[in-house]
Amino acid sequence: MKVRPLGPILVAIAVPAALTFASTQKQLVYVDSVKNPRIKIVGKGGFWIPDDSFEFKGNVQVDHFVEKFKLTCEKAVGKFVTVANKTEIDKVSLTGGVHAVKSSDSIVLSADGNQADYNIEGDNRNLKLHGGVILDVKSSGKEPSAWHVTGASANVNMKKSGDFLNSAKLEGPLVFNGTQLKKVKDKQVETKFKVKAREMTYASRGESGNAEIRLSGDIEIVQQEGSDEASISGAELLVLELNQDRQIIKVRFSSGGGDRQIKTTVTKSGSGNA
Amino acid sequence: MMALALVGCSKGSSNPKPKETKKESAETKKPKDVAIAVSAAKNRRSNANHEPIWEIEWESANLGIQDGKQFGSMVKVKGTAFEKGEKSASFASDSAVADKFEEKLVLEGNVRVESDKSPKATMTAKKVEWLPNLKVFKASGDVTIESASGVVGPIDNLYADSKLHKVGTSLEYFKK
Repeated sequence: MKVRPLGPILVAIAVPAALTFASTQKQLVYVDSVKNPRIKIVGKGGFWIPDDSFEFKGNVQVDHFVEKFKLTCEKAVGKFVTVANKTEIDKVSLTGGVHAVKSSDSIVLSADGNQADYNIEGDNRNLKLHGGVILDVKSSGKEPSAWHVTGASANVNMKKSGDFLNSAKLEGPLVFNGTQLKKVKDKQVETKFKVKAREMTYASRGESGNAEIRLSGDIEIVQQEGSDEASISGAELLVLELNQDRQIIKVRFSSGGGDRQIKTTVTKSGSGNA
Repeated sequence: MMALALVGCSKGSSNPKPKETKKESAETKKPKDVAIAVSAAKNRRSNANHEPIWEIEWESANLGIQDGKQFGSMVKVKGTAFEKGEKSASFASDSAVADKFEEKLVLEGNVRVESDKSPKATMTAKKVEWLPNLKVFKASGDVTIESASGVVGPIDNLYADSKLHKVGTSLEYFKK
């Protein structure tokens, strides 16, 4: 080791170099790949254990670009797993203002709750929501439609690709709002439904591409068409058939048998009981 | 090593004040500011149990005393961090400063840390401190960590364990 005196350099090395940042980067950002990201997780803080697990806190946003699925919440804790040589997230516990959005070409499903669990189940992605659950579906097809349901909990099975929603079960008390569009004498008529019930199931109908919503338990229906309004009580089951664009195309309800009677009250807007 | 190297210029003793005490006189006679340059060398720091905590090589080093305090910086460095006597990560940077009191090593400028244990990961930053007592890297300035399963960053500040197998925004995540 050679040693030589060096005077003038003293001042230069005595002053520690200040770090200057071009811009602040306060968020913790994870992507599974920089070149071709499939999954991105952003939060104000947290930790990451490669190939194992993660915890993100503060304005958390999870994007699954391939599956067109997005989650936002206050805290997300989960595992990384490898499926078909790709990194996926699984066993994710979400808390605080959970908002999930799943999109297909013309349909957008959004699901809200105070907390949720997200899991991989084969080709499906399961989301269990609790606390002030809202499920909202909007179709942007040729004849736009929408339905919206609030409840206490929801168990939602989404396909990883293709159709947005495979099945769902909501428990209440719940309130369903939906719109049926139908043509009557070449004129499009809009019928709005507001249904109170205890339970709701949604199921795809296989190859037909249609789907079915079944509402059951202490049903109260308010049906509005133009200025006419009908209140229906006493039904035990309401079945709404949906087409491929998830528009309501058929409505039927039953008393469920026994002594139960369906009572319908029709009113004209502003005219009282008819 | 520093003790051997501390030779060189001094200043401050050329114009002694007329009414100085014995103590002041002794201080002014002691060399205050000293600087030296050292060529390429290698150093290893061990803990009280004689286990290595880091090992570093440098192309050149500047050592000195200012106001009676020793300091030094190494230029173009590369080395190894150890945990429990085993290699955990290798590193390289433009410069480094060793703090022998806190036993920490501060790397600055184009810092690159690579884990030696699988799964492999690489951390890059403007500045990284190796804190052997906590077995944690404290990184700042455009911090990015990349492994086969993904990338975290860039972010201003981040902590990582000695093998880069866990990274987090708070030291709390590393307290057992």
